[in-house]
Amino acid sequence: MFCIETKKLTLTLEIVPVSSLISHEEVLAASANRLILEFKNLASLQNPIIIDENHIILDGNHRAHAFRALNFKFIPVCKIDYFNRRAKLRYWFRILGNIQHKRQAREIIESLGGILHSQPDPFTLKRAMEERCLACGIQYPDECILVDFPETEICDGVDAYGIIQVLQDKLTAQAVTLDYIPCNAVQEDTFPAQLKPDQLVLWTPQITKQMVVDCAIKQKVFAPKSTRHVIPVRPLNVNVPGQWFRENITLEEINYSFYAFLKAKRMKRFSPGMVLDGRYYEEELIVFYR
Amino acid sequence: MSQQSRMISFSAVGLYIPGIVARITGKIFEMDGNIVDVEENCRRGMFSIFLVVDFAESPIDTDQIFNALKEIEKESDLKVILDQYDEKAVTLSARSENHLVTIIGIDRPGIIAKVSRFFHSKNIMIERCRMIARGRFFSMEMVIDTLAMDMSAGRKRSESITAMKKELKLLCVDLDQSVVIQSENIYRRNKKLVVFDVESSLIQHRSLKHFIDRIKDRIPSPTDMPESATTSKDQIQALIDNARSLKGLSVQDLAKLNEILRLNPGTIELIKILKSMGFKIALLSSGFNFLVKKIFESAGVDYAFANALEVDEDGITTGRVEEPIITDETKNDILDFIMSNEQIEPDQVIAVGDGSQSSHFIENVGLSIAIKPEAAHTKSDGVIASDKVLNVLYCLGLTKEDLDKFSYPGSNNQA
Repeated sequence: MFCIETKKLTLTLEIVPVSSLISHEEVLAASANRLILEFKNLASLQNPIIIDENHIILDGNHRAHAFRALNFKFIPVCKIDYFNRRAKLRYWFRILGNIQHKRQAREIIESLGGILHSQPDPFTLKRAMEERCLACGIQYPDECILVDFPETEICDGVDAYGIIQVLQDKLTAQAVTLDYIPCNAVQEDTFPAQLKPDQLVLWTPQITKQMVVDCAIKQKVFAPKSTRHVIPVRPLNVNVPGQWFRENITLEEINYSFYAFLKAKRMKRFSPGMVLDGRYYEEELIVFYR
Repeated sequence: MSQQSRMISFSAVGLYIPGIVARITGKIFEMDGNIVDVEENCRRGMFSIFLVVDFAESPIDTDQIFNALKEIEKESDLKVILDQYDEKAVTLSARSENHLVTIIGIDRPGIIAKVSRFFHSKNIMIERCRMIARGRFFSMEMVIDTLAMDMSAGRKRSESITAMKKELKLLCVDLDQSVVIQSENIYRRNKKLVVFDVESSLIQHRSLKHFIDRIKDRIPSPTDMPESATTSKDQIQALIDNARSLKGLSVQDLAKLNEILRLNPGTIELIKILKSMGFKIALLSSGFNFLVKKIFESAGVDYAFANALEVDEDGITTGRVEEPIITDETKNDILDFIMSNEQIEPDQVIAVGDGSQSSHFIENVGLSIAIKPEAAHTKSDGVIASDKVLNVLYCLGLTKEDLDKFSYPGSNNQA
C-alpha cells in the first residue's frame, strides 16, 4: 500500500478485489451504462475510488458498478478514515421543475402519509431537519415546508430516501423535470432568488455517517444520488493501466506493481479551491504526474 | 529570349476581376507550365499575384510564352511583369531567419513608414506585411528576415537580434504602439496553452487597490503593510504573508469584497475565444483564490491555482493560508506541472503577465506578452501598452474580421 500523510487525513492507496466493495447506494442506470461502455476499452483508470476501512464506497459507486459489470477482478482505491471529522457527509438535493401548482407535490406527500409543517425560512427548515434526520423538506420560491413521515412508514435512512424516490418518480411521471444539486449550493444566501416560480427543491434527509455504515453493512442500499461525500484530500491522476484489472495475477503481485508504479511518479500538492482539467475542487489535491 | 532558362516569374497587379486567377493559371496550363510557387492577395478590391512557373516540359518557345502571358495585360487591365527566374537565386533566398512582428495600437500616420525605415536601417528584409485591423484601431503583422541584418561589432548574432528587438520595442513605445516579436522557431510551433498571471494581467489595478483599501477597513486588526509594499500586488502579497489579520472574516464578507474586483476589459471574451480556438487556459495567482474563482465561474478555465484562506466549519476565516502557499517563486513549478499534465513543451505555451517579478515565469515560454508593464524594459517577446487584453489575439494572427465573428452577449470586441 502507498500511504500519503497529510495534516487533514491519511490516504492509503492500494488495489483491492472488486468483489470486496460494499455499495451503500444504487446507481443511476444511464450513468452506469455510459461508464460500462466507456470502460469496455479502458486505457487507464484516472482516479481511484474512495472507500472506508470496511470497503464501503464513499465516492466512485458508478465506477465500481462498471468494474463489476465488466468482470474486472481488481480496482484501485483510496482508503480513508470515514469518521475523521474532516471527511464530510453532504447530500444531493433535487430540483424539480415544470411544477404546475403547489398542490401537485402536497397531494402525493399526503397520499404517502406525510405530514407537512410550514417553516418561516430555509434557515429554520435546515435547523428542523438537523433535529429530525429522517424528515425531508420542500422549498418553493416563497415557502418552506418540513415533511415528516410516520415511523410506521420509515424506520431508517434507506426508507427515508426510498420515500423521496417514490415522490420524485410520481412527480416526474407528471412531466416534472428532475435535476440534482449539492445541498450546500441550496443553502447559500443567494439561492432562493435563483429559484424559478415553477420549481421546487426537495431537501433530502440529513442522515449521519453511522446510519450510512449501519445500512451498508446490513446490505440495505440507499436510493441513487443520496449521499455526497466531501473528502478533504483527494488523490488525482493515478492513471492505472486498464489491462491490469483483467490480468490473472494475485492481489499481492498487483499491489507490488501498483506501489512501484506510484513511486515512479511525481506528486504535487495543491490547496483547496483549485481548478484542474476544467473542474473546481473544494478539497486539497494530491496530483500524480510524470 | 533564350530557350535555356525555362523558369519564369509572373507578377500582376490591378483591380480584381472575377475569374482572373482561373484565366491566368488556365493559360499557363495550356502551355504545359508547372506552377512551382504562388502568392495571391485580394484586399479592398485590389488584386495581386506572384507566380514562379517551370516551362521545362513545354514544347512552346519561351518568347511565345512571354507574349502569351503578356496578353493577359490587355485582356484584363492588370499590370503584368514577366522575367526569367534564376534557380540559384531561389536556392539562396530559400534560407531565411524569420520573425513575426505584430504591431498594435491606435492608428496614426507614419507607423508603417517609421517601422519600415527602422528595418531598412538594419538591412532587415520585410518579407510579408499585412494589415490585421484598420480604423481607429490599428494592427499590422510583418514577417521579417534578419539573415542579412547588420551585426553589431563584437556581439554574437543572438545578442544583436536581442538588441534589435529591444530597439524595436523602444521605437514602438515612441509611436505609442504595442509590439510583439516572435522568432520563427517559436511562431511556427503550434501553441496549446495560454497561461495568465492573474493580478498583473487580468485584474484592473484600480479595483485591486480599492479591494485592498476595503479589506484593510474590514479586518479586525489592520495589517501592517511593509514599507516595500507599494503596489496593490505587493499589498496582496503582504496580506497573504499576514493572513492572520484576516481572521474572523466570513466567507460571505469575502464574497462581497470580491465583487469590488473588476477584470480588464475583454478578459472573459478573450478566454472564451482562446478556448474556442482550442487553447487550454491556465490562471496563476500568488494572491487569493477568490480572485481566480470569479474568472473560472464566468469563462471556465482548465487550470486555476491561487492561495486559499483556511475557513472553519462555520465559514469563518481562521487567519491561516492553506498549504502549500503559491508564491512568485513557485509559479514556475506549477507551470512545469501543467505542461507535464498536458504533455507539451515550453515553446507551445503563451504566457501573459506584466513582466515584473510576480510574473517572471512568462520569460521561459514560447511567447511571452507583458500587459502594461511597470518597467520600461521587460524580457517578454512583446508588450501590450494598454489594458485591452483582447489585443493578445492579434499576436496569434487573428484579424479584426475574425474577431468580429466572435460576439458574446455584453462583449465589446473593440480591442
